[in-house]
Amino acid sequence: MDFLRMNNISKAFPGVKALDDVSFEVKSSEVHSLIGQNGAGKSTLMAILNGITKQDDGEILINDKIVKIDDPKDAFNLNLSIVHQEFALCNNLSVAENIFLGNEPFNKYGYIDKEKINTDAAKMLNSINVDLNTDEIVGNLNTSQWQIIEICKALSKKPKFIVMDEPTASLDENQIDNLFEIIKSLKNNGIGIIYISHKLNEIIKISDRITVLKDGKIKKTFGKENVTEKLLIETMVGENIKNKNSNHLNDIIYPILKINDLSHLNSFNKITFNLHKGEVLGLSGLLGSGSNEILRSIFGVIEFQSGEINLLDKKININNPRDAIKNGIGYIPSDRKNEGLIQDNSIKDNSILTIFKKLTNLGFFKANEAKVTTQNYVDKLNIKISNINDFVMNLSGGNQQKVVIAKWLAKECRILLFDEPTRGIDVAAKAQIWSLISEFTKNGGAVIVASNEIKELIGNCHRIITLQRGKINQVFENKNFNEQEISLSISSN
Amino acid sequence: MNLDFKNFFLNNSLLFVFFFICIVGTLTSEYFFTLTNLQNMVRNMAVPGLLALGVSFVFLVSRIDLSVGSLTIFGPILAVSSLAFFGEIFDFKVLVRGNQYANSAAFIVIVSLITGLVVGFLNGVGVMYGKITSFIMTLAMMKALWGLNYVLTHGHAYYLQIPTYTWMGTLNLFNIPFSTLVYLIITLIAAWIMKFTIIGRRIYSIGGDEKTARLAGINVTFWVILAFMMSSFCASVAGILFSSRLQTVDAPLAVGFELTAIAFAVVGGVSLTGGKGSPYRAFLGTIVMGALFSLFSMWGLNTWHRNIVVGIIIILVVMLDQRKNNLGRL
Repeated sequence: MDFLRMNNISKAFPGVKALDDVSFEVKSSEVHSLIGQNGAGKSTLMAILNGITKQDDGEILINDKIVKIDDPKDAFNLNLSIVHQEFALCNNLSVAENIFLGNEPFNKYGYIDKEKINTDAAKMLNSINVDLNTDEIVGNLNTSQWQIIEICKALSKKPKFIVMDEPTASLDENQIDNLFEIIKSLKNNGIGIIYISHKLNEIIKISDRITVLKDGKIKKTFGKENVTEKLLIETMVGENIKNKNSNHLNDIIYPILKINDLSHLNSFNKITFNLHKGEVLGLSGLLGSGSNEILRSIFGVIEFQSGEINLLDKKININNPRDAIKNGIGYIPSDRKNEGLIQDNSIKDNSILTIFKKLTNLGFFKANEAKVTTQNYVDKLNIKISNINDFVMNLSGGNQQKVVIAKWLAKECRILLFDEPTRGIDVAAKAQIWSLISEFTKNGGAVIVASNEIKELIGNCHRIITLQRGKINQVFENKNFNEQEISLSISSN
Repeated sequence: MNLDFKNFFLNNSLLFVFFFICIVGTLTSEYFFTLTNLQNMVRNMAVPGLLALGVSFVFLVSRIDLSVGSLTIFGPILAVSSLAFFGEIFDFKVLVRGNQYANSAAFIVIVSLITGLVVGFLNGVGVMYGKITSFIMTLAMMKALWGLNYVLTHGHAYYLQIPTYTWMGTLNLFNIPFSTLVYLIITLIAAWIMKFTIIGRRIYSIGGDEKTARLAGINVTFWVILAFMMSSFCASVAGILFSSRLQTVDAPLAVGFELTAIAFAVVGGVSLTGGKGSPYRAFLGTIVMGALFSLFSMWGLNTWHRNIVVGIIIILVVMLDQRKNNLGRL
């Protein structure tokens, strides 16, 4: 019987205590789950275990022996493997080659021993009862098979403990059942598993123990018995918070945007909802729920297969972002760095990106007007900069986000789609972004926010739509906002 | 003030390198600082300078154009061979003697320019609609045009004896070669376009971050095609100046010019990854390399040795440029 223990781990980042005296253990043949809301400290704890960050305080023990994990290689040497949420596979290589990538056995002539790779991979797949051709090129397989290969990659290092971070995020029901079978057989082989997920029903199904993290502290550890989703949510969420917009809702009667039966291949299915003038509408769901894809479809970044979008009762065709913009729709992407801003252009150039045409006269650029316009938005949005000609890459996350917003305000959009607007932004800037959103809607705009920050949504939205697996699960109005219910509606069916 | 000067020096260091080369030339060769040599030097800059300017537009949208070398001579060849062809059919007197031609200079100029725009358009369409990597698309175009050049000329040179045409390559205005003037004027126009018009704004946005540009509603397809057309247009002008100077159109001419052009642009500081560079940078690269070539001729170094030095210089310049980037902006 082997033990992995983390004792009294603490870790502080500037301005926030990410982990506060956290102790956590897993033993052989056990699935110990770790749950908590965004920012509860799960990722930090796992980063410490993987040697990516170093704890300020506390120790890690394996079988009562203190071990040092300074980088991922140390974790590997301690028979500790991690299956990350994102796939890291070479699509052009075979299953077996991927499993042994960087770890290939050589034959006596110094070539990679293909036969050994294939037989070993086959054995491994056999041991977890998976039927997969080891010669198959990974690019031809589906996501659940990728997940299996990721697990095999972890297994190829002969681990005693495996950390699985959201392994079911991109899997469907059947595939999840398959994965759980695999986890069971791993357990039978004596491997200890730390399982991280947002999906409570799965957690309850697979876990031997469940530990709830909240605000960097261990809230409670549950055994297998008597645990319910409701109990977990209550522990995770704590007390409810209030919504600020309750009075404002009465004005919301004119639908601007009507989304009818919108479907996209496998990301979302028959989505129908209205967005009203003056409304802040929240879309929330776990990874793979389709909330981000819905925004990207409305903006024309990805093409939807069926359904229609009506603007003020008139059907509009949106084939690309230009069509959306023509109809007064703006999009603030979650990937600010690569999609929202041109990093090595100036604040000015980024703010006027959408209105070049307006700022040109017979093709001539009106430099002065550009300056005035930009300065106007810099003042209005309270963007803290020394000079509008500075590069945006040197700005803080909050100020960068404001520049992205300025770009759309300049374009005089009526509808703004925010994708994770407060990701990677400090607390003060978050509040500012939300008050910008509120001001925009009070002036007659309408906003859809896709976010997983349920607390923020509850504090600022008029309605929240929860999504699961590409379908609308529930619609909450602000008088009925209840964080526990909303969390439950997102993470369990 | 001090910082301003440092900035100016760093941004224009190639200007000083150019003067340095000229001084070295003057000190080491009595012929370097003579009117004839200086005229030759700047005249020789015109053709590769125009090509370097052209490919910079394409570099700025993070793509590459390898077709400009073959295209340079393709325009005049197409014009002259079609003159010959139609001249025989409709019996107008273009044929003077043997395979020497004398007729409409305007026709050659116009056909060359249109050809350039069409080729650029095809490159752009192949890249944007055909989803072909620009390297492959323009490589294929280069090869195809190369082949066409031989097919159209049957492998023989045409000697042009059209006074109005050939003076473009040989004439001096106020002691400045006409080709150099054309090059300078086009560079000025290009610099102005890139700085003050929507074309420049769009091209820099796309090169800076194509995804962001697309999500901001910019018609990336249109502007990239335009960049290819601007590149090909410059190549066509270069082709006119080139053939008028040599008074010849012949398939093997201008082979490999695309790589010289790319080298000039890169030395000037136009980034292959897009968004960084300007017509001015292409100009700086051109005068430095042009002066260097002139210096090498003074020293009696032949093309073989020259190529070795060019290779080394490109590596050094790009390495220094990377260092500068890593040190951060000043």
